[in-house]
Amino acid sequence: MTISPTADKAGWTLQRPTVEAGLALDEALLESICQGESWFGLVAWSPSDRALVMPRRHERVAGFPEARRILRDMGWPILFRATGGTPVPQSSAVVNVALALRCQVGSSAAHLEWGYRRLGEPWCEWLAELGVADADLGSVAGAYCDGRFNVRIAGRKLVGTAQRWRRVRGSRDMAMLAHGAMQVGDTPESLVDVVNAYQAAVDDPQRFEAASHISLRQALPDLDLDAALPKLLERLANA
Amino acid sequence: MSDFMLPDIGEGIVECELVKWLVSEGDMIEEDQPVAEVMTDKALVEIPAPYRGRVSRLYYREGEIAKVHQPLFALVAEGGEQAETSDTPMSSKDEEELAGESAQEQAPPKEPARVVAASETGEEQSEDFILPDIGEGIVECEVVEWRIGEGDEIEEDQPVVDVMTDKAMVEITAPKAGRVTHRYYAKGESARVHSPLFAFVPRDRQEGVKPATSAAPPRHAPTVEPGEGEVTHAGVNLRRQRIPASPAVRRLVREHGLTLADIPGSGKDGRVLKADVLAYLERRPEPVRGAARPQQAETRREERARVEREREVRIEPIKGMQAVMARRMAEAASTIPHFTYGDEIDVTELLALRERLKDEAQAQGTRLTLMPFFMKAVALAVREFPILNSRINDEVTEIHYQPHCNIGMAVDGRGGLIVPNVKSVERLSLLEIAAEVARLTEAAREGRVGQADLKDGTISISNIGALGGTYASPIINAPEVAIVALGRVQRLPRFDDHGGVIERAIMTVSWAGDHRIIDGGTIARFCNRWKGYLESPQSMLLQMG
Repeated sequence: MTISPTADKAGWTLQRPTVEAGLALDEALLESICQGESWFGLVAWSPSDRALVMPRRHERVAGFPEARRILRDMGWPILFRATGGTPVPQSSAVVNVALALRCQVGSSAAHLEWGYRRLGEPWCEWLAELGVADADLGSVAGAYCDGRFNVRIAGRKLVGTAQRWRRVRGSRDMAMLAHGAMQVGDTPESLVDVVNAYQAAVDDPQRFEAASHISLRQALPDLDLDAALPKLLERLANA
Repeated sequence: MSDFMLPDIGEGIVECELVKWLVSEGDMIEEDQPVAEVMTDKALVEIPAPYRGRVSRLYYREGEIAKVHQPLFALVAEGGEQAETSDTPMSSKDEEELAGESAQEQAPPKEPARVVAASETGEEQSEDFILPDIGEGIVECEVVEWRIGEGDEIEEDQPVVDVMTDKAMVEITAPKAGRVTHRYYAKGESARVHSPLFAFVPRDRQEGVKPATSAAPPRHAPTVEPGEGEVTHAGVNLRRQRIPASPAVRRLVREHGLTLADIPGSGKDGRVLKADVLAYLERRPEPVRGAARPQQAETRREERARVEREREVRIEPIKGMQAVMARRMAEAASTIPHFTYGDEIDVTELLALRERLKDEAQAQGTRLTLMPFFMKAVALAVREFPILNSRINDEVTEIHYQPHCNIGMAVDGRGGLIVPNVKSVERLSLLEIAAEVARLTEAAREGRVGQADLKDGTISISNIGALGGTYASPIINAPEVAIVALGRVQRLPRFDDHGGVIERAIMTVSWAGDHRIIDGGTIARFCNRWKGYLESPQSMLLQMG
């Protein structure tokens, strides 16, 4: 299945690829920047299947092969992504938005904080527009794949964010991919349980708490997501 | 061979995991070729090669933690194996210069990229002095006072600037003699650790580039002819991407929103001179894209000022010692269960004793206040109640009894609240304590207390009564476990043993103890012992060793 990422506003509709194809979509978006083919890209997708997604370095963890088997048997195959962080479940309850930009970074290798704010602040503004009064960026104790720049509602994690930076070919510019994964449906428990199952399978004592997460449906039960999502993409494009 | 330093990745990020090497030792690599992938803050970042060359060493294994501004890999420049025996083509200094350029750019990265001027840096003659690590976890400090101006000649070790860290004023001295060409920060601005603080032309380099009339070069001088105004290094492949210009010219370029690469340089090797920038500005028929920025910025500033006036709210950043006070006090107040205990102490006899001794102390060059008595009495009482002079480990599983009584005194200093301490009070005479108190008080008021004087305190005294007030509720100066606030001395009526009313000098004291390890009974008994020494100061003589 081939899906083309686009900087064209007409392409900002929610796509429904498999997790694997969605991850490839992110990669293709970044690659187009790296190849100098585009300056900006934005894509939104929600998986048609499900998988537990993590950076490839987790392969080094002792017990990983067994954990992979256990998760596969549970119906959650493990896939790898190109951004950093720790395991994140992907399912139809999750909407992913990837923002890719060509950036001039001076002598730094990246500007991570800037990248997270570039993704997260329009997201918070979008939530405010939808009537969420207490959306902000920050870490959430007890949340899986926690970082300093989750999009939070009332201190609970709604969107997990991650990044990847690569060099633009033949240039000193860098290409940034900032990715946000927002739980829109289902209950936090359903996804947290998957991550905790992985934790148990690799014999990692850390466990995560459903109370640290929130889904968009919990915050905005009557929201028409299909109608609202383009406004998020527009904000991200125009920020 | 030169080390490539892991560059900045994001604000406040000091280390990251080396996820994957994309090259091996011995590989020839191209400029900008990805060399490694590092991960931090949930981001995977590709690190490109600074120039073409052969990788001679990888400093980390995959999975290890790499430090920002520390060597990541070593690279021998293209065709420049000879560089191994000459000056490093891109030394850590070069890297620091590069990092410094970035640190100056407070603005976010531009998107989309237009030109690559931001990576061009390097003044051929000047060296940047990089603000070094000042203390653990300190990433910035405030520039309090410049002692030199741009253009000034400086000598090695001459004080150049005073900076204030979270704890104290630090004097930065010149690493070598030379001429200051640029100050990167104005007074009052926050300077970032590991970024350039000032630029200077070392004197040896100034002499080295004098015309041929100067003395012959030393026998072992590099065979490379020092160009006029330029020192050449072998194998500097990177340099061809740099556009030579002085820091002042770069600043001018930045102020006008220009790009160095756009301005034809009339100096040697294309050096862009100030005249070139001015000529370029005059030539441009249309307003330079960024030229309106100063005006816009001015308009924005005025607008902001107007809005602020209307709101009648004045906003100022919390920084320096204030910021540290905010953080540490909040932490102590929120993590330590404070037990507060108050009492009053009759210091009539103590005052009389001080009166009798002060002239003699003055004759020996020391001003005797009550503080040395309070401290000495604390040190004596601590011998019986050592838990007041202890610390708790981070896990709250152990009590660490301290071998010495280092008594802190809270001082309302120039930069804010600080608590220098008198070391080993148990060993000092009253005169010695008085001398230390005087020294620390003066240093604090001038904002020049050294780090050593601020470290390793074991118990604290706040003489808030000197300013007024009788009671306080002091917050423990963690990791200490107790603090006392002294109220002001008042002349109050009290009953004597015969029921008669007499005038006495009364001082109230307010103790706060860490209730995790100090209970009310302990602090009461400790305070009674301390009070006994102060109400009958001669009794201290029996205990002094």
